[in-house]
Amino acid sequence: MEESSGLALEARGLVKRFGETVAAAGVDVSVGEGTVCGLLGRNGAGKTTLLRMILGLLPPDEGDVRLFGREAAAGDIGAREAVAGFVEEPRFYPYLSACRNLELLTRLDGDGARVTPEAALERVGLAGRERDKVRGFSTGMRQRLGIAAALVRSPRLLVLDEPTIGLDPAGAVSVRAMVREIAASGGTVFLSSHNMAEVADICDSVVIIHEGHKVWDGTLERLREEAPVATYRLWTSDDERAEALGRENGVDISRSSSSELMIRAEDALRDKFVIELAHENIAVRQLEPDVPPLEALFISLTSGTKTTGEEAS
Amino acid sequence: MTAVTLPRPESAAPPAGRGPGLRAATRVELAKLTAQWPLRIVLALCVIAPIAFALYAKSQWPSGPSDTLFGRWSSTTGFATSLTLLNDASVYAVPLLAGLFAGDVFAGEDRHGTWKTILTRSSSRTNIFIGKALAAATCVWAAFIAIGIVSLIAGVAIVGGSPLVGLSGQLVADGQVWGLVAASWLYSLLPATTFIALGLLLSIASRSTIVGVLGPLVIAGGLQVLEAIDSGTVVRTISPATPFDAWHSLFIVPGSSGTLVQGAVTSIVWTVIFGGAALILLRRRAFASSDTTPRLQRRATIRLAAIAVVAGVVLLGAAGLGPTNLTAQRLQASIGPTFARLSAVRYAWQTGTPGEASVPMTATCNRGDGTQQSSGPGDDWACIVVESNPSYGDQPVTFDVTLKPNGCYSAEAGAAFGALLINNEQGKPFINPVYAFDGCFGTP
Repeated sequence: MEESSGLALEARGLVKRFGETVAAAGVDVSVGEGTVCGLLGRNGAGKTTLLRMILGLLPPDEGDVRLFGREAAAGDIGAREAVAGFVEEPRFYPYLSACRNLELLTRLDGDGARVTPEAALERVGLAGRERDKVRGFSTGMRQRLGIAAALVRSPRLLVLDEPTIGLDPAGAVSVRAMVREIAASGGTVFLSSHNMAEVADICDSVVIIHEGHKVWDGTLERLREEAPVATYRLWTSDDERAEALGRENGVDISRSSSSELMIRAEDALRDKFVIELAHENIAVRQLEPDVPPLEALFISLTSGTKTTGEEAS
Repeated sequence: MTAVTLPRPESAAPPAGRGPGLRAATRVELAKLTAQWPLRIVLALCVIAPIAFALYAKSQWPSGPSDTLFGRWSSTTGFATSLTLLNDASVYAVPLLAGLFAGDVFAGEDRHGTWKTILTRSSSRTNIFIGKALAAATCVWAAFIAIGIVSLIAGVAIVGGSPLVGLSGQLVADGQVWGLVAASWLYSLLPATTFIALGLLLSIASRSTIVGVLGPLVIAGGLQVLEAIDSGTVVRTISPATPFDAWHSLFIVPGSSGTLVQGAVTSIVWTVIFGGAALILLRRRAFASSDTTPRLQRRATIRLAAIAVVAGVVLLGAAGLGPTNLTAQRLQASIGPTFARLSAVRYAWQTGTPGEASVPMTATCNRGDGTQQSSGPGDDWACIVVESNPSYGDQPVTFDVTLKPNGCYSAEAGAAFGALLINNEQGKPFINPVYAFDGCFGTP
């Protein structure tokens, strides 16, 4: 066995084409052990294709995947013994109960399963529904069952495709807490998401892909540093005077298409401007962020066509 | 969600070889198959239907389905009841069972979108394939054996355990008949396995439950049609359905293992081809999307249909290839001795003393008006059987004969040898074995 490099996941130059469509165009991903890494991208950016290649469901046309330092070709289950997860909506046998589904899956894991189905179901909030047939489960319940099916393997690397989609707010919070708990206990999580706030909340690092290309990767701190100045919407009792005052104070201020004031300024300058408005007897009726900084960066990174003639699936 | 402490992820890479074996994969698939109510009902029907058939057969005495081998005896002896059911099961039940259990075992994963669920566990694709194949085969075998056992026991219990008349007119010895009927059912598991492998292949290739379930039935029907129009040995030799007839040779004297061996080889070769192709398709399949889309299913089905059409055209073109085994010489060589033995059986049943089939019989067989070539299957055969009796001289009798592509025939001489039911010396009626009879001389 090869020595672990301290990386749970290392994908190098992954290429996947579907006819004329390029879903992955030489993607490199590295995820350190014991961290949570978020995979971000717009719909069709190639996130799921990348996850399928990591889970061994799809062979890459070029490049390779290494898991804990060991090369993992598609279908190499030995290299993926310590990996669990799901892509897209988790699916199960509708004519079996939740518990029976997990029991059969654990049998397919051999003696690798260390968590009982009952414990995993309780962990994801499905206690009491163990004997219910899966055909009656909602999308959110299936999502929880998918996480439970991964947990029974007690994986060192958990690969999750939008794990909180379909969950109610409380369920989403619980899943995020569980992800952090797994990382705290030494596990690694690689998850895709559309939700920038979720990624900012639980991830240590981020990979952003666009049209099959990796356009950014790094720690969340670095992402925050590179994020543009936040834009806020401002409603006042006298927008014309407020706009003029803003310009006098060096604030980047403009009108939106719906005539609201849009201001872009560092926190200190924005605070000073609001105080100035009060001194000038201009009431601030509402001040709210327009696009959070991380989302603004994400949008700027994933705007436009990356490569002519190439489209992600 | 509640806080349940989960074990810490293992800190070291797991040792190789900790994954499950074939046994686990097979048990998982068996659990999935037997958890489905429609399949449980099918398994129950395999137990109930033979009992119902035995009751029906008993009610039809003294007649029976004369178009099926052993059918005319199915209301007289439970052994024939079981063998009649074996004939029908070979044509209808096996393809249906293969479709229901094997045809959906892979396509069901596409239908439920669960491929990604099982392929991200610790079982290899090969293990999952073999597990599914063994589970499907176990269910079909169990259903088929259930039909066999229940039909034999219920047949003897309900219809009776009278002696069985073999396909050469001989009475099958009491000590052998149980074993021979059981061996017939067991042997038929071989061609049944070929249809299971076909169901697996269709299930994987089409990704469609409809194609997987109905495909074996449609193909079996096509092979029946092909068999009905064919008299050449080439297609009969290679047809996966032909081995279903091989057990007939167990009831032919003198016995020969050639047909059984050839049928076994044909079955094994097709099973390996179908099963191997299915395994290759699964191993090479890329799971690029979660669910098999209707477009993908349509494309796969059209591709399969095109292959089936091409195969059908090729087989039709080859239908007449090779010399036929259905010749006048072979029919003559069979029908004369068969009639002689049956005459002896009738004598024994009538008088209660064993008859001797030693009276020389010669037969001359021709088709139609005698101008056409005397070979091939058809219902226009006529055989003149001459009994050379030193006391009465030559006694010619003409039989109308229907010769089937599998080398079995039905012969009727009307009332030349008495009515269907005749009485023995104690006044008890019995079926006249020479009123109409079946025989086989066996073909590949």
